[in-house]
Amino acid sequence: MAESKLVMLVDTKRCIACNSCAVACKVENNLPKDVWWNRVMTVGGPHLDAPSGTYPNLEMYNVTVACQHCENPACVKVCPVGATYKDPETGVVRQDYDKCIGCRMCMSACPYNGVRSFNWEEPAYHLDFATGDQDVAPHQKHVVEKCTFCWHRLAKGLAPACVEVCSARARIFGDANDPDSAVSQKLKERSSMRLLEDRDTEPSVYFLR
Amino acid sequence: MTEAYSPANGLTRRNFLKSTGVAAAAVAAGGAGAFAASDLAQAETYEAGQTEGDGEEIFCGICRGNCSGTCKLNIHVRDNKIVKTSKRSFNSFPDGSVDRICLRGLSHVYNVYGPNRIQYPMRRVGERGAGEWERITWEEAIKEITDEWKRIQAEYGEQAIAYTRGSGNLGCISGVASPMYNVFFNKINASMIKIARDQANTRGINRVVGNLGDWVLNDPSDFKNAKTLFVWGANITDAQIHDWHFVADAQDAGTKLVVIDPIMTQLAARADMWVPVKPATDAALALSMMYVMVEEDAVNKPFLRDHTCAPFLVRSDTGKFLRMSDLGVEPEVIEVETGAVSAASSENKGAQVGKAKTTTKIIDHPAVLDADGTVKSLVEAADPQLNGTYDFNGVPCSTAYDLLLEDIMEYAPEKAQEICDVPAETIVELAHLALDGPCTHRLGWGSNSYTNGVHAAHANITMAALTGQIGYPGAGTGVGDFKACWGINAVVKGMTAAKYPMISALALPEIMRTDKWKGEDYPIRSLYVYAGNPVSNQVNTNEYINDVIGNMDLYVVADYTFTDTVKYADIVLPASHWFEQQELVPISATQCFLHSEKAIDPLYESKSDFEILKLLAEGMGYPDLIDLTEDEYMSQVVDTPALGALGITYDAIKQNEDMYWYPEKPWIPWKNAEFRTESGRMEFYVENPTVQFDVGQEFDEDREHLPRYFNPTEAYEGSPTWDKYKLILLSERPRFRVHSMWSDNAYLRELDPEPTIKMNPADAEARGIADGDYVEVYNDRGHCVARAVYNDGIRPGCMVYPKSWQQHQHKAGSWSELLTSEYDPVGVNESYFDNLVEVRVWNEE
Amino acid sequence: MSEYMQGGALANDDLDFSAPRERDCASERSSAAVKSPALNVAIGVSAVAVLAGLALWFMQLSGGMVQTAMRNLDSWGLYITGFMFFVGLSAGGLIISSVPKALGIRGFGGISKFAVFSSIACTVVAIGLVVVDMGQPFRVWELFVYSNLGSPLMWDIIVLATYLILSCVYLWAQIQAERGKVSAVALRIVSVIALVTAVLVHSVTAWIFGLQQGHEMWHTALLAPWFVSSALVCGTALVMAIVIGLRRAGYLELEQDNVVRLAKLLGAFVLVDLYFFGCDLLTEGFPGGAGAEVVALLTQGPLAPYFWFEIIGCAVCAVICLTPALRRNGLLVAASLLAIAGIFCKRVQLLVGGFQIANLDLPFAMNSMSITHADGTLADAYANLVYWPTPLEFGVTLGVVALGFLIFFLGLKFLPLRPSEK
Repeated sequence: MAESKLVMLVDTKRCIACNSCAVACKVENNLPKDVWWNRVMTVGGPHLDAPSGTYPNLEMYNVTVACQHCENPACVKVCPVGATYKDPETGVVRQDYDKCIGCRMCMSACPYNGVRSFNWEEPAYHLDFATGDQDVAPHQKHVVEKCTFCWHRLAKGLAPACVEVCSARARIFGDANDPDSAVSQKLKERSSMRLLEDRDTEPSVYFLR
Repeated sequence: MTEAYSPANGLTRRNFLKSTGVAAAAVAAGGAGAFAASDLAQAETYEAGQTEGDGEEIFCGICRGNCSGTCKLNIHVRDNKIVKTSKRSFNSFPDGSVDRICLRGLSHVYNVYGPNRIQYPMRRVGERGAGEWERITWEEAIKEITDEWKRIQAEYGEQAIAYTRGSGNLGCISGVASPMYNVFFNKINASMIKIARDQANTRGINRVVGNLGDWVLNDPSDFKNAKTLFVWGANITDAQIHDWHFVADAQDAGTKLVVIDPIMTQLAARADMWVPVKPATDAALALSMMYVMVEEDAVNKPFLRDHTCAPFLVRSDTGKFLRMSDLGVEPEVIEVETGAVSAASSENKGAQVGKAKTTTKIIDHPAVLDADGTVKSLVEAADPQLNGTYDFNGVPCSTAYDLLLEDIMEYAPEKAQEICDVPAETIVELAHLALDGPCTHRLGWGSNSYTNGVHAAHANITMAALTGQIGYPGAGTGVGDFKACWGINAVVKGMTAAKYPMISALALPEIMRTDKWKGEDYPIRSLYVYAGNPVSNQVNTNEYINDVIGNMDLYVVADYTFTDTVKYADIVLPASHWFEQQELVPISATQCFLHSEKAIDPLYESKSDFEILKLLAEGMGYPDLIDLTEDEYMSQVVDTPALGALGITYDAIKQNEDMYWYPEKPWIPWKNAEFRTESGRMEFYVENPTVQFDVGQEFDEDREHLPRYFNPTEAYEGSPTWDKYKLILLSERPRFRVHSMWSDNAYLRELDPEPTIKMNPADAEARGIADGDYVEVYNDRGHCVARAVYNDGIRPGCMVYPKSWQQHQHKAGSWSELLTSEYDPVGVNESYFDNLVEVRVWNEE
Repeated sequence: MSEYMQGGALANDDLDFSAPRERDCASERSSAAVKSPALNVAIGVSAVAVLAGLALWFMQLSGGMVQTAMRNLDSWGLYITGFMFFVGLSAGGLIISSVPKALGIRGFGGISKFAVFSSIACTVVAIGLVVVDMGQPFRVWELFVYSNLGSPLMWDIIVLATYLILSCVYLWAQIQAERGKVSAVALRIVSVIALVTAVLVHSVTAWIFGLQQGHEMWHTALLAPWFVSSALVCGTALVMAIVIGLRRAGYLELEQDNVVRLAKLLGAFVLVDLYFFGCDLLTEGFPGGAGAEVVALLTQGPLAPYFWFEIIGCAVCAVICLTPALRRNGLLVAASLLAIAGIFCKRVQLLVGGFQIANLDLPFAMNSMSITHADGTLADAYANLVYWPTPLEFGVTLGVVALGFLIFFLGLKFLPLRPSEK
């Protein structure tokens, strides 16, 4: 198959919400203050690490939430200028900051609230120099941005930063169109779910159960 | 648009195809598709100092805070600035099993360049703690410190200068494992103050099995060989993130995970069985599990007979073993060579370490009952009996095992259920699981943090004696967070013996109040603090600030960032960050020696601790005391015959970056049931109980012979302060900091912005506290304000605070204010969970 | 000017409604005398407000939209609410004006041109509100270069532009027809096209929301017809209020019969609109689950004041319009304004409501960029209205609305909008 379909698997049995992937993303992509493309949340109670239920009958697991790089992305359809688009080679939902008119149509279209972030002001940083990879596109004021699946790393044949750093080995990344890939194998072996499947967006992020 | 590379639109399809082509080619050998194996297209491998391209240089760094993970990092340097840290592979583990990094390792850039860095030496000008400073030069700082030290020593004696550290650097030149401080401070005959933390569980275990270094357990990669992995009060998923995947791998391999913890941690949430236990009752639970084993006659009798003190007869009059000398057999006297011991072992009292020496050993065999009912020497008895009594000249003697049984038989599951709040049938189930080996028991710092903590560990290791599950794959009991390398040499050039014994930090407040130590005059007037933050991390902050710092003439703190402790300093010395100096790390969860390169020059006016020591030595009149290079000292530390036999030399470590320090992998302690006690057996009956630290204390020797359950000091229903305070205050070592390190890291503060106190909603609602309210937690010792966070995973009657926020991050107070400085005389350990508090809504600003 | 202002006061004496409306009525009457100083004052005031709005807009652009209350989890606010509202307002006028012509039935007297011109003013406001909502308004040109014709926003831009142009053409055609320069057939053709566009403009605006699978509250097929009915309600109400006002000011003469027919029409539209609302609530709520959450949010949650104002206001409006005894001018104006305010409330419910329910109800570290009220817990952030505009947003919005008034006043002053002598 010529075209690949890059997907991310997150093993909920392994994810402990350590947030390393979130921080890796932050530094790698030189994200401005208060911008997080990738967050980790506990499915359970009202806070991180809070289970649901009543002590001691409790339950919790975690999901990482970033752009789902949907097969059927709501954002791509609604962008009036094509600033957000699906890469035909890989299925990655990409963005062109220079084109974005800042209408935020994609933000309201995306069911996964919070995965897209708008730079509500001139991006401000904690440090006075750019961290992370120098091939990351500069952030712009009044433009929508989000997880790129670390496009700059994909281009070098590397997996996204969040995958590399996951010390729990909870993230697996690869081509779902390749039946021999680790992701394809895992999807066969394990049951999985995707976020908000009822919205028919066909996310490329699978949570193994 | 300029020519600047804009990847948002700059990547062409050809570009991408080209790169996937590379991946695919690499894969062909590995036999998977493009991006197939998650580990394939991951971290690039860099040579030290290698240029990645576009002017980026990569150095090998070691993250070395006291999570003890000591992960290897790539330090990416661009334009002389560290722009990123990423995961670096271990050469000692080509399978990648140990490669890791976490959110803290990833956010170093801020620690290095953040505004909280101490940039130059400072002298306090305002009140202590007021935060008013003036900038001074290094020359002024060193002169002021050393002049004052000379004055103090002249006035109060040499011991009046003291030095102490925390755990903020596991290095062997500028850190915890460094002999260099001893070289200098021994030279000026200063007093060493030793932090009194995390000692109870090692005491409880080592007194039964002997010392193989503190906190040993089977390598985490061995967890998968266990049928069941018991985790007792260890919050691995927060405090040892690096170890979690070994647990998950074990689960994948079929190991059952049992978590015994009052709190529903992320680990507990993933357990096959979570046992919510009442705090500070682990010893009762373990004893009750043993009850079930004994009741069902399922104990491992051959192991008890051959590898434990079970058959030893114990005299009822002295509590000592009946020895063959008691029976008139002359002891043998032999010469033995003792090996060098680890620099960070609890046996290691400062500088007197490292030298292999020959000593004489008296061998006086214990007496046992043989099958024929006669008393014989252990070595002669054909079948030493586990049970039985013997009348020794009117002194009744029982086997150690019988004495243990007496103890155990008090803890029927039904009774333990009341103590531990664990259902009797669960206790039975746990016992069955523990019998069905191999099992590994990983003990955490939970039970260690009460004044009955020594016994929790003692009980647990005793259970291993009953099951015999220790010393082989999948079988072991211990702490195992990390190990310090055995066999390094602390006697570097210039080392002299310490004139004064080490002093436990827990004894320091009393010394400062009275100027006396063990009844003798012992004034201390100056304290030098490095790699540590006692104001934030030591128990009973108000006592520490008032009695310890308040009675100091000169409080000097060397640190790279502005901590609570720095806040109270008279002179502040700017230390350089880890990545601004080279270092050799000999304490590690990976059990590897690790070499960390210097990636950038020290920022501002900062200097490495090593350089600071040289200046201090010079100022005290010893300009030639520390005259070798860092490399030469590190080489002296590592280049020992024992390590050399394993091919480990300083040069080899520097070249390989990491070297596993055990002869076999994965390392398993107590192989072949070879224990390091006098008898070479597991002595669950402790014949001669000793204390972890001599502070001139008395203790009840009878209590210490066997594992027992008794109430902690404060943290139980009905304790002396129960009428005023009804919540047990527990803490967690959150993933967002390592103790107080990273507490000022802006990246992590975005995720974890302010102090919180986790409460069960029932406890909160009973006090009119809403989720998100600011609350004041208080007791007689102090108070602390934080935001209440509802969490059903917190055991009702307990609260949990993520620890080590700095004072300025609280609206008022700080967590350690609330913690007791009472300690168990045997463990001599900070009992930071042994506290009762109350909580109320905080309405002030 | 006193005479006219009194008239204005009269129109407002039983109302507690917006100042712009007051100015509107007052000025419309004043424009009866084209050289009225009051009209000039109104033009001046509007122009100043427009300039102030412009200044605030530049402030927003230079200092950043962080000065608005919009954040990542509630990424649209007053501007888009206003956009929806003014699109609705605009269409009503055109439909009222064009339906009789298109269908060849009896019209509503000489109000056609006012109605169309009010549509034009409202359309400009609607477009203006989209522009001020954009982060990169200087990239607007890209809309025409990189058009993604699949985007409902692109459809809306096209339809709205077409609609604006058509409205102008239609107005021109009416004026020319009066002068005998355009045939009745041609006018009828233009009016049919205008009518279709008007219906389309509402449907498309509805689809900006209704086609989004992301928001439970928006994702309903009913949204387009409902937008049309809401537009008819507020458009008719606006026209009725304006003509009653203008008649009172003596700017035009109109048989009461026409007003009554407008009132009956308004009553009917209001009932249809309420009917749609009922259908929607039932469909949302009946299966339970997420839909029931939406119903609860509206009826009992933070949006309840807006919901109940709309329901009660529209019901009162219907009663007034459909009860002959109540069809007095003052009450009819009140009914109109109630309907308009009710529909505005509907827009607020729709927009804020879309963000009020988080699809991923998971805790995360909130910060100044993620949600408007980021200082408490997540529950706190959603406990009340997740979004409330900042003064800057009110200011910019007022500026844009003032532009509409400016255009309307300029029209009154310079265009022959009064019915021609028959």
